[in-house]
Amino acid sequence: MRKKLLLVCFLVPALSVFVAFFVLPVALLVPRSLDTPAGWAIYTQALSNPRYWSSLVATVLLSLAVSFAALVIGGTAAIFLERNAFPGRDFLVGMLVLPLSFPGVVVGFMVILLAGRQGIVGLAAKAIFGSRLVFAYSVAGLFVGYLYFSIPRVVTTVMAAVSKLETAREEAARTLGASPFRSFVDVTLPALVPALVSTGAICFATSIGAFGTAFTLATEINVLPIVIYTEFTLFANFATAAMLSVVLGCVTWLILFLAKFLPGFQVS
Amino acid sequence: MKKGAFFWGQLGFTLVCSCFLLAPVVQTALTALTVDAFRGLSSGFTLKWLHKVLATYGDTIFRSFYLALATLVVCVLVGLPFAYALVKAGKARWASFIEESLVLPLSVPGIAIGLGILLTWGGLTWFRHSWLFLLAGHCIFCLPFMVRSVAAVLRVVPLPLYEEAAATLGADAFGRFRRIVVPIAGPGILSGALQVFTLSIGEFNLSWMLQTPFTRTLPVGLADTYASMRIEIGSAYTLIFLLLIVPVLTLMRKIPSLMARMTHRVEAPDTLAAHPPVVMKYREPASDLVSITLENCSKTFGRTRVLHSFSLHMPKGRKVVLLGPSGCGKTTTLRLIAGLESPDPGGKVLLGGKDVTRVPVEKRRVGMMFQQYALFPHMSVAENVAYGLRVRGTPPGETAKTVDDMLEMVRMRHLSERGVGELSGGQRQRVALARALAVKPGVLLLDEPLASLDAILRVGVREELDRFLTSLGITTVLVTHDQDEAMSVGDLIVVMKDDRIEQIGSPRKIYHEPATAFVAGFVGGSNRLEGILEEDALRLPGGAVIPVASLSGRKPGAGISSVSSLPPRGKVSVFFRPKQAQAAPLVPGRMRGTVVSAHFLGEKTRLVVWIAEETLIKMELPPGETIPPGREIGVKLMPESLLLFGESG
Repeated sequence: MRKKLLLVCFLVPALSVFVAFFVLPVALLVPRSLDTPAGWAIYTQALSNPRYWSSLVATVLLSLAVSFAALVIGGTAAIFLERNAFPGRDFLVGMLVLPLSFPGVVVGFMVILLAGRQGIVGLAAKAIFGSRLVFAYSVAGLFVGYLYFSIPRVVTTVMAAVSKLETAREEAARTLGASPFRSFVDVTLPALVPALVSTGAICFATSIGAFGTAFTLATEINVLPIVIYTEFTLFANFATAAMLSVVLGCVTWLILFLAKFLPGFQVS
Repeated sequence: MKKGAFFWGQLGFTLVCSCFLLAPVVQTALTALTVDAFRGLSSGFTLKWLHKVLATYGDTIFRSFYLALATLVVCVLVGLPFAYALVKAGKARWASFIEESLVLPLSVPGIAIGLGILLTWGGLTWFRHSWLFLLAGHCIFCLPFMVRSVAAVLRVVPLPLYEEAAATLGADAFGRFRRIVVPIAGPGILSGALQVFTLSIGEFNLSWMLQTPFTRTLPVGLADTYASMRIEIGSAYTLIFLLLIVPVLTLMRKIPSLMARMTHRVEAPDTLAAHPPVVMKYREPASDLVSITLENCSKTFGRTRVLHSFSLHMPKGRKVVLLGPSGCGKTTTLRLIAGLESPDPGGKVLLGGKDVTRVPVEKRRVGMMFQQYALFPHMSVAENVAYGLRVRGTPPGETAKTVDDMLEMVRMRHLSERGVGELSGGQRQRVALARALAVKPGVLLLDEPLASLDAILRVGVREELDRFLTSLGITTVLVTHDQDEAMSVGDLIVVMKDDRIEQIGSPRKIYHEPATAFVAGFVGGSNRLEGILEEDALRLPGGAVIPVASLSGRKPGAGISSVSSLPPRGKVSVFFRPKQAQAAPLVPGRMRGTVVSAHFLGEKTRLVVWIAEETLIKMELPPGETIPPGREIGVKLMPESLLLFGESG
């Protein structure tokens, strides 16, 4: 009995912070979003509104594309780095995971430096083709920015997963006559699927909710978080902002939820 | 191995990839330090941009720093107990539900949480305008990282074991949390703290939603300068931010190796040659001798009865061994005595005649040695031994002397400053013994003391342990599944099976006069045959027919299988030892078998003989003799040595 009491005492402080500043505010978003004459219809109305709908579709598509690209690029680099030892390897790993905790705004700035008017890419293009290449403020810029913060996440997760794999299995495939590539495709890759799915889902969730990068780049396409922000600050449209937040939260949660259970089914 | 095109291709790809990530960072630094970004490096280096940023945005930098520290403090204060409670709750459904929901803030976009907090709490003006508003947001965002980090560390160490060990040494719940849980969680707290710190410093989404002109943080300021399109200022500001977090990030990457050092012990080779068994120093009895009595003790976990009601008295100063296969309830019995479990209502535990059923473990003065020794990984050898004295408030001088004495006794004084990770298995066992004895316990409880030693070492340590326990003269209860260990150490053996006591007796009695078929089979490496007892003869597999009259020739006292106590006619289990069977010519009525293998063991040769389907027996031949496998032989049994048990036995 005393043991239970002690456990409760240990749980209560964190739980009260959690309920007060997360559960309650997020739950209250729902009634706030219904705070219009339309009521629940606001959800169907919003989705038929071309501005919101196109923004949602664009955000989801962009996030999907980024997650996929990050998996391919980051995954290749991670497998290579975990499976090979060479001088400077640790330094390379360090470089690849450095942007892990860069806030979105900084990532946006990095894109400006890469592909803005004074960007490295632009200067290089001018030297080679004679014309400047500026794409920081387009969809391509957003894509590069999201890729920038997604690659480190993929690299850390996949490296951890690869380090836990037994090389003996790949060697077994080799002794059975598979080429290095075949044994990679047949043995290593399937074993990495859960890690790839989970890190892909996290990239997706981070991209879909990324506000800072889009905010800094102030691009011509309006991703959903920007729409929420402008609805709230510029138009003081609390109900719509709350409604879109609910939609955004649901989409993200759904993706993470699926990612959590899908690889489990495949493995078992 | 020569590195092929595949390797170089991948390396090139990885290099391009890291250039993509690194190039803008380098450019940030260069731009921040050049006089004119448009003219490039040729315009020369300067610190004026950094100065300008510090002058204009210095307040945001300090605010972010303080805010990160405050977030860190809150996350440690609420997150550490929380993580501990979660780990303690184990697989309980509510615990996994809470843990799942705790990571929800990571899956809901910050902008949505920010909006929620603003709409819910924004009405409280004083709160809205103070930095506490930001603190709340940052804590929600960072808390999951701290909790997961701490919980991950606490889950890889055998936390309940360490806590139980501390409890038997006299530490109460709060003391255990402070002295055992917190230090063990150390690497987790550190890694969580670094994560919280960097995340809080760089948090933008929530901070932007929740900011007021008086609570602008570093990332908010960054967004400002980016929007103003002053690329040098923006770069300088970003550079300051990078200088703040990159050291922390670098430190964070070192954590896994640090944690590996905590959890992975260096396994020193542990052979007899390296550590010859020494006779431990003789010593006066460590304390007043105490008897142990269990009355009507049973134990039920949920709906599972793990121990059927029994009573048991262990006289003071004796070495009692609880012997049985795994899962027979012997460890539960030991834990009942220690106070780590309490018996079902009605059961009583008495130490030295005093009822201690309601006395918590830390007040019982029992010395317990755990199976894996449960040495505290964050303490040295000496600190481990001193722990029990320290929690009892023994003066430091006295503690130091006792620790020295104890380590001297187990011949470990020269290693007193070692970390427990640097010890071999045998050395750890001695430290565990010294730790248990340092508090001068009334009884000593040993849970499988030799199980974690390798087979070669075990025999030597077993003899050493027996001499040591005999010299101490302390009441000892030892749990084992190894009958050799039980025979050589115990004064009294309690054989247990399926949560019940099968037999209590001296090693001799158990060996020669097993009370049940189980004891007969478990002790002494007996052969077992299934036979049928008829009115006048015992029929065994292999065609053996043994007259009942010859079974009666047993010496008196070995009661159970003399004629008067022969089991009822019908199916019986028959036990005999390998040396009680001889190879003999084949005659009718004698058991017939085929030699499967013959092993030369030095002073004897062991035969394995196939008698019938699923029936192999072992027998012994005198040295020098052998019979080739495949030969048919007769097996002559000594009727008076056969032990018969009916089906119920």
